[in-house]
Amino acid sequence: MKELPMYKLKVRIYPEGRVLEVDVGGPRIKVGDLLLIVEGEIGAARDYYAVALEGRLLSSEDVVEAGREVVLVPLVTGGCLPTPATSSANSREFL
Amino acid sequence: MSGYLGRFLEIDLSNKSFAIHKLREDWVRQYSIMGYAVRILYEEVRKKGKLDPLGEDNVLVIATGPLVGTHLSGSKTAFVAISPLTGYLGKSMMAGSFGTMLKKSGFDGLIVRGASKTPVYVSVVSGKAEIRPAGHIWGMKTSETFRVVREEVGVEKAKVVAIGPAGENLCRYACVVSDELRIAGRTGMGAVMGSKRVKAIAVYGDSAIPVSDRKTLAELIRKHGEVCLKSSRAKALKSYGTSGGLVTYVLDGNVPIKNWTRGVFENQDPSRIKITGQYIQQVYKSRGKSCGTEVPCVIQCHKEVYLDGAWVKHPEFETLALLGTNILVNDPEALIAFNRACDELGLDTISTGAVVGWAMECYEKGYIKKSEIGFELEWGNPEAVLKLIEMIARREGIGDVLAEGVARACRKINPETCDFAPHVKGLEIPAHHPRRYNTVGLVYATSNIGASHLQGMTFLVERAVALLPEYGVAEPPRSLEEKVRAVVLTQNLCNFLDSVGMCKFPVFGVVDFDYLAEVYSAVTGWRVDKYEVARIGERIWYLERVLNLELGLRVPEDTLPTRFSREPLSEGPVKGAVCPTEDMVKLFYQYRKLDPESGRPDPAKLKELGLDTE
Repeated sequence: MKELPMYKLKVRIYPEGRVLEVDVGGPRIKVGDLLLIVEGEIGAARDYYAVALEGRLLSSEDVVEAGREVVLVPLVTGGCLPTPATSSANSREFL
Repeated sequence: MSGYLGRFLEIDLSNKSFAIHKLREDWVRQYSIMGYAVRILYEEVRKKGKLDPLGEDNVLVIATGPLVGTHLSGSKTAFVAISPLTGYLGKSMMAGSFGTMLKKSGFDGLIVRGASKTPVYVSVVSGKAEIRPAGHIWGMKTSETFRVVREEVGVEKAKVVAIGPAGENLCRYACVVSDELRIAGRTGMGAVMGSKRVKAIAVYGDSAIPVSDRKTLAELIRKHGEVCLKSSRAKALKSYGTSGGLVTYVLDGNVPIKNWTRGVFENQDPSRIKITGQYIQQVYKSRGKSCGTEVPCVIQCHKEVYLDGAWVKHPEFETLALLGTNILVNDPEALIAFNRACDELGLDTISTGAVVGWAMECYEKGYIKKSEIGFELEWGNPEAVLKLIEMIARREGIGDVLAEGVARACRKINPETCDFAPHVKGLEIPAHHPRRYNTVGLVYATSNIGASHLQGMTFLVERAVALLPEYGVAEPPRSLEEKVRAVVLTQNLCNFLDSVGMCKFPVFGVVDFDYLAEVYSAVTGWRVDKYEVARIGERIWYLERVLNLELGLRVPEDTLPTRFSREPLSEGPVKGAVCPTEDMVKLFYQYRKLDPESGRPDPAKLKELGLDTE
């Protein structure tokens, strides 16, 4: 029986430089979904990081091909625009 | 009144006298304290006409706010006067303990009038106000000034603000520096102090600050602390300060590179950028601290690094961008040295970086020669930058021209260089990129003090870090109309925060303005809601606008340099993008009800806001 290919993405975490190999389950993945997977791996909140590819920040709706290497950078005072589906990225703690 | 002490101390330097200015409650309710300071200036201009910013008729008002000294995270004190850079309203917010101590000494603020014939410093310590000679400290750098003044006033806990040689030499973008190295950076307030020959101001007191409902306030502060500790934005700021944002901003296309002409820095490779907060804190021992001993801020975005046997200030984002990416310097120790030099000499790092970047482009294009400077001024040369900073502060050689700011310097060097002089109304442009975030461009173009990112923090709204659903902004603005409305809203809210003395970092993206309304109500005893909060800020914006119109503001000044609207970059994250400045300003005028010919607000709008300026 033919084996299914493993779809992996390299995620380099800035500034540590640590590289995660993440199984994205298909030939491409939306950045918002990638952040969900990464959150599960490293425990940091999804709205703490942004994803960059080839020197440019990506939005949640952008799509990354498996086999690529992306960089995870902390948002601090800004970052990519989340989609409505990742609304926790702009959630507000109301008192 | 609660939250307010009800009085300013008026200092007449010409007559060497003091008086008490009792606050008018109607103005306090309408504007709070920074807005009150603007109203004082407006009344002066109405009485005397245009004021020479470096003349003795200019009035410097140092204004705290009702939330200052109430143990909330973050505290800001306003320095307000006519700006020597713009000739319009000058306003700069200083973090740290100075404002708290000023209130504890018994005053909501200081009104400094006239000018001394000889250098002086002002002491408001332990219930006694004095004007003391400062000839022996004139010429000193700021750190030495703090030490001497504190020794002379005899109170170790006194808080001191001072100018350096740049302010003494009337460098138009001279700043005021506090002994906690917090800065009133923008619009040249240091030059205003220098023109009055005031070297320093020392304050100390231990009076209680009146609060209407302490129990409710304590509960609100406790909850705010909990929220700050959980908020991703607050946590990130706590880790690295704003310097941690540099790497993201480079990848986002949101920094100036080579005087706004390039779109790529260090190949956009984070591992090659050595001036990020993350890199600096990996290489050097670092620590965070609250911006002031009297300010119990849980965020602690202020950072220090251990270098050459001492703890020194860690440069913040704007400094790293304007004196780093903007001039192609990628050396952390150079950035630390630039920052230290600016703080010691009393220069605004944003304007300094913008001036140096413009000068480097002039040098590259042959408008300034090596013989005129005395050394090479090529891009990315840190030794040259350090020399230039010193020359600017002392007005030596070409430093005398550069100390005027880009708007005046370009006319002296060659009017062609004005095409790439990065300023609005004379105030040099900060690091956030109008091509990347158009709302930022509109904030710069329409801010009442010239180009300032803190007069409307819309880059946070555009990237969904700080939405404002309590005002109907639940999504990042996309259409031009939505962007303009976001700018109008954040301008109003930023004015409110400045006027009540609250830092923006523990607010935007952390809490909402229903919370702020509760806090203001608990402190003052005056019930307000989020709409009144925005209205106070809106009222201040229009007051600032009519002041500027009295000072000669013209409609064509509400714009950006054409570089941003007509010269797209050929590379990087913002390749091909421009800022649609004209269209946005036109729409802004409609929203703000400004006459397109005169720039004047509709009288009905002023009446609606109760702006009784007649």
